[in-house]
Amino acid sequence: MTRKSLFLIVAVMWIAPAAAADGLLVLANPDGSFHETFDGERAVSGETLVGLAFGAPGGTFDPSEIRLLNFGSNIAGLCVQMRSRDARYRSINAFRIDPPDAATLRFANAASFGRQLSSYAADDIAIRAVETTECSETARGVILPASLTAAPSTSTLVVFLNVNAVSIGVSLRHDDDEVAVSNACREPKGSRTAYNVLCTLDLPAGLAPAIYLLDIAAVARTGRRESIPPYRVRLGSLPPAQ
Amino acid sequence: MTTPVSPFSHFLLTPRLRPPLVLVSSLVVLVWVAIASMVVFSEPELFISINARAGTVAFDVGNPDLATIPIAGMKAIDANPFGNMAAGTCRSGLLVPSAGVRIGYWASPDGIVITLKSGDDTSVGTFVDQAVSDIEQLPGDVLLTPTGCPPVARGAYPIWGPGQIGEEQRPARIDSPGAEGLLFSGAISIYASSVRKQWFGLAETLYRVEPMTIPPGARIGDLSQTGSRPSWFGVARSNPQDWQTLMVDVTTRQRDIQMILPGDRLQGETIRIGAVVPLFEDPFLRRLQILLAATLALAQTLLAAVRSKETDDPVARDPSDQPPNVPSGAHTDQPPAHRGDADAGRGGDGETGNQR
Repeated sequence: MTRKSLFLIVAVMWIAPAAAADGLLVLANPDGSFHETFDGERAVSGETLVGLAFGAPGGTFDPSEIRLLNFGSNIAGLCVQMRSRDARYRSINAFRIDPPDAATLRFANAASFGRQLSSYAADDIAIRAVETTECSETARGVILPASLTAAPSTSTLVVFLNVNAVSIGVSLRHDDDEVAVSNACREPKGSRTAYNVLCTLDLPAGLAPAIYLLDIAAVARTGRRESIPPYRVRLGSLPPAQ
Repeated sequence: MTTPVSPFSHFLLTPRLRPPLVLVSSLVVLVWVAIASMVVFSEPELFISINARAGTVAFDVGNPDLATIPIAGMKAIDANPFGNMAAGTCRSGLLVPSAGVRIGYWASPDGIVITLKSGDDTSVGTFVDQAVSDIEQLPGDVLLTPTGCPPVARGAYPIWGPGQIGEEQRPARIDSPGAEGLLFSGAISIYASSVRKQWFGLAETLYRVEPMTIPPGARIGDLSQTGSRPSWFGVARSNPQDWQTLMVDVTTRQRDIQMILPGDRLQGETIRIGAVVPLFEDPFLRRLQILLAATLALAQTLLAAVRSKETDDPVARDPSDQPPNVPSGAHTDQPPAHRGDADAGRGGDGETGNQR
C-alpha cells in the first residue's frame, strides 16, 4: 500500500463520521407553511440579542451554507428567526431535528428561503436559533450560534445587538468563571435598523461543550449601566480546520 | 411641380446679406453650444445648510481647536462597559477633544448629554478644569451628563468635522427605553455660487436653490466614511420647547449626502447636491439668456429692415439678385403690399437661387 493510498483512507475515515453526523432541520410549523416576509409586516421581538454566529465570513448570504452546531445535546425543536440588517427581510419558523442528537444541522430545504437573501452579505443577516418547541417572536431558551459557512469554525463568536448605549461590551461565563470578554464592538455601515451593533468575542480553543451565559454590558446615555438579563448560549469547540 | 418654400430662402437669396447673416448665425450657434456645454458638463460650486430637530447629532473631530467644548456644570463618567463608572463631581471648564474622536450630542430631560468615543483605547482628549486650572487626560470612552448637577446656562455646542444627524428608528426593547436620537424634522438649504466667478472671472455671488425636506426617521450625513470628507461646521442647542430634540444647524460643502431610511435599502440613498441644482436658476445665466434673446431680436429686426430697404429701392438692388426665371422689373410692378407674394415666388425657386 502506497503512502498516498494510506493518506486517502485516513482522510476518508476522518471526514466520514462528520458527514454522517449532519442532521436536518425539518420544517415543523403547525400550519405546514414557511413563514417569511420581505417588505411586509414585521413583528417586534423586543430582544437585545438579535443574532449569534460563529465568525463573519465574506461573500453573500446563502441559506444552504448555514450550519447549526449542537455539541451533543438532544434538542426537541428549534425556533429559527432571521432578520436582515435593514429590517426588510424577516423569517420565523419552527424546525424539528432529524436525528435529534445530530452534531451539525443544516436546513433540509434551504430553497424555501426567499431569493432576496442572496443580495445580502453574509453578516447582513442575523440568525437567532432558540431551543424550544413554542416558536414565537419572544421565544426564550438556549440559543445555538449559527455558522454561516458549511465549514464551521468556533474560534470567534459574533453577537448581533439592538441596543442604545454609549459603550458596549460582551462577556461569556460558565459557573461564574469568566471565559471570554470583549469590547470589540462596532456599528456597521449603512442601515442599522434591525440591529445596530456587532460585537466580536474571541473564544478559547478547546471550549468544553456546555451552556454558557452571555452577558451584555452597556452604558446608557443616562450614565447608568443597562440591566440586560444574560442569554443562555450552547457552545463548544470544534478542532481547528486542517 | 411646386418646390417647398423655405422661410429663410429670401434671406439666402440676397448675396449682400449672406456674409453677415452667416457670421451672426454662426456666432449665435457657437455661444449657445458653449453655454449648453458648460451647463451640461459642469456643476456649480455650492454649500448646503442643514437645519434639523433631532435627538442626536454626531461628528468626527476634524479640527480639535474649533471643536473645543465649553463645559458648564457636568459630570464626567468613564463609560468603559466593564469599568466601575465612577461619576465625579460637577465640573466646569473646557474639553479639548483629540482629532478623529467621535463626539455625540444627545437630547435628555436634564439637558444635552455629550459622548466621546475614540474607537480604540486611546484618550478622547483633555479636560481643562476652570476652578483649579488642572489639565486632565480623559479615558477612551467618556460620557458627560448634566444629570445631578445644578441647572446653569449652557450655550451652544460646536460641531466641526464630518457628521451625521439622527438615528434610524429601531425596534423597541423590553429592557430599555425606546428608540433614541430620532430625527423628527429638517431641511437642507442649498446655496450655489453663480457661474460669474467660475467661468468669467467676475465677482462671486450666491443664489439659493429650493430647500429639500429631510424625511423624518432618517439618518443623514457623511455615512460612507471614506475618501475626502468635508467638514460640517455649526452648533447644536437644547430645544426649550421639546427636551427630546436638539436644534442642529450646520453648514458644509459636502456634495454627496447619504440618507438612510428605517426599513429601507441597506445602503440608503445618496443625495447628489450638484445634480439637484438647476443651473438655469443662476441669476447670471438668466441675464445672459435675456441678453442673447435681445441680441437675436435686434439682429433679426436689423436684417429685416435692411432687406425691406433693398426691396423698396430698385437702384440699390443688385441685378444679379433676381432669379433667372423671373422677368426683370417684376418686383417694381407689384405694390409693396404684395411683396411677400413675390418673395414667396422667388422662394419657390430657391433651389435655382442657391445654385448660383
